Amino acid sequence: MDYNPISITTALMLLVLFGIVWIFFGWWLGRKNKSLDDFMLAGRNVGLAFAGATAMATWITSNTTLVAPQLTYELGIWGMVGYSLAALGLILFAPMAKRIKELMPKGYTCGDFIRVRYGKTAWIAFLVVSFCYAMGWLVSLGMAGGVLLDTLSGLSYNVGMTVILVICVGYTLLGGLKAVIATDYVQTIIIIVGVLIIGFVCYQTVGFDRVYEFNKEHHPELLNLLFPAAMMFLFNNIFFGLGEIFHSNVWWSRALAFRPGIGKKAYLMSGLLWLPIPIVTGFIALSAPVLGLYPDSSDMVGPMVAANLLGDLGAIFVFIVVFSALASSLDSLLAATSDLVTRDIYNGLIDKSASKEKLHRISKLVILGLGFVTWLICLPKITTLGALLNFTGAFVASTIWPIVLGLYQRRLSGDFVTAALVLGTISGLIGYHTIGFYVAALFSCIVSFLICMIGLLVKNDNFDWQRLQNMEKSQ
Amino acid sequence: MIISLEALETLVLTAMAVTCLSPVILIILLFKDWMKDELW
Amino acid sequence: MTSGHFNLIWPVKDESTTSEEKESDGDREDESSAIEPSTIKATLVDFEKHSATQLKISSDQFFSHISHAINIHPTQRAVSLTGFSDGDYYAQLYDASNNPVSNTVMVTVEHHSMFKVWVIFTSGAALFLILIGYMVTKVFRHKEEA
Repeated sequence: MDYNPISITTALMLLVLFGIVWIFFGWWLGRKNKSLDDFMLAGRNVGLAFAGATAMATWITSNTTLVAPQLTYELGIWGMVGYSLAALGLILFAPMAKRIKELMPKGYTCGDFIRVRYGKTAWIAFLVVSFCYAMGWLVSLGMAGGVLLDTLSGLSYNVGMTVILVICVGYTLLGGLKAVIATDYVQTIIIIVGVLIIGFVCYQTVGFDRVYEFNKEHHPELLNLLFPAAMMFLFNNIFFGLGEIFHSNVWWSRALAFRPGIGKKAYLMSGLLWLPIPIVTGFIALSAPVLGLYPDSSDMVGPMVAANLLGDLGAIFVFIVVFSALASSLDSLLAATSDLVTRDIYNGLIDKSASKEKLHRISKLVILGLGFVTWLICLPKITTLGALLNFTGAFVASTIWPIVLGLYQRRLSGDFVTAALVLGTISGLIGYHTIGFYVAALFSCIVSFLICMIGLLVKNDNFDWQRLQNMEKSQ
Repeated sequence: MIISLEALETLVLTAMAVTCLSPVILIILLFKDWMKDELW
Repeated sequence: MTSGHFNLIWPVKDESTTSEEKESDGDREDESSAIEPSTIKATLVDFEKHSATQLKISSDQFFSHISHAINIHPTQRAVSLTGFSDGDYYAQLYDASNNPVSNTVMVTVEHHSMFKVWVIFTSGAALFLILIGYMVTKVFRHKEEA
């Protein structure tokens, strides 16, 4: 777009307003945080309302609001349906969330699980995968913020990106997981209402008949259910999504933070409620051609249609919705990754006898540090958003089978898991570079699966589940 | 093989309907948790 | 271009008169088999005589039948197009009086071979079904161990 629908003043005002409200929220909630468990795991007793909302909000990233329309614009119907199948990650994780809370009620991170269940080598391999993914996601979110503000308002990328990071680091630092969860709840409502308004206006203004007929005439592939490229991407994207959720501490920390009996319900509900959202945002993109709108680049098709239909107000809506989507994921990622660094790296490798008070302080420093490192990496704006995140598909998909089997099987042992993670990742990366990004997660998952199967057949580790219950005492 | 107009309509309208319900569900749940003092 | 989606870019020329390589850039997943090299490096060169206000797409190089006429903002320098079926397409920029203000560029759309698609699709589906099978039989029905 060559004009900026939002003035720089408006953009800055909105940012400052959100900043003040969120940071105040973070400070207010943070006053009641007494212990490490309060800070990292919101007291381990979160109820269904907050639990459901935070799972939804965290999985609604800027991608859901920007990339879903982009993929629909590029791949048509399968773009949006394929994208919405990412909800499977939440749905399939639901029983696992329950199992995690039962197996290790005193645990803090997914790293804790891998370390006790599979041993130190597997744990290191897993941490490498986790960090590659976490940093990839953090940086892509930081960049998305900068790009969004630049496109909608002309506010320079560096300024926009910095301000969003400062706000998120600020309230996460002050309030811990409680601040993350509470802001997530508000942000979920904002996102859903915003998406609905834009979707509804689109439906009223354009209508299905016109969208259908115009695309059938001029862009027929968009309506094609056998769209070759989309079919190829489908399962790769599903495994990518599953890998993201199954392995990441973002979801494990929540499983541990929710009250017993809440985890399964919360994840199931959030998955089912998340599922239609990419379809609504995707539909907006299908309407672009009929409105005569062809974006400069496909990732801006969503905001372009919204601004066209609702005028400058539409652009402000988009801004608020995408900001909320960004913030609700950024804060979760900062908190969860800080938990991993503090608990697994600092407490696990550097200072094994650190007191909880000390870890509480360290985790705040880590949040600050992570925010800073993210900011540094975001500054040069090296690569496009999609490419960055796709790369991590090779890493995370290798964790799916080790985690599922590890939670429910006693046979699988650490050495095979290490091999599965390492060889899976390498296969995925080879596939990525020789064939294309759309096989990275698939190859990784296939290789990891085969190694796990061999591991199950060949060796019986006979793991004792009690070891996970006793996690604290083994320190 | 192109999707039919009816199928497209059903898909998107259902999606919008469910999306309409979700804030309602979340607010009711919040209220219930708050009344039972089970927010967190 | 292998997914019916491609971008056309016509950056501003620099001071020297030689034009830059302007690429017709699209989904490049399959450079080796699906596309001939000559169709990737198409250069859309704006003659800079008048401001372009329209991009016209046609299936024949003489533009006798225009399939798409897309309005372009005068300062716009890129456009993203999508949903095209297999075939050759020609694109050219026009000004408000319908005079061409750029050269013609050809884009070949050739969707991925269905064989490749099915191989990847079915291997993904198989692994997915195995996972779902395991989850439904073991995971969703798991009772807490004493």
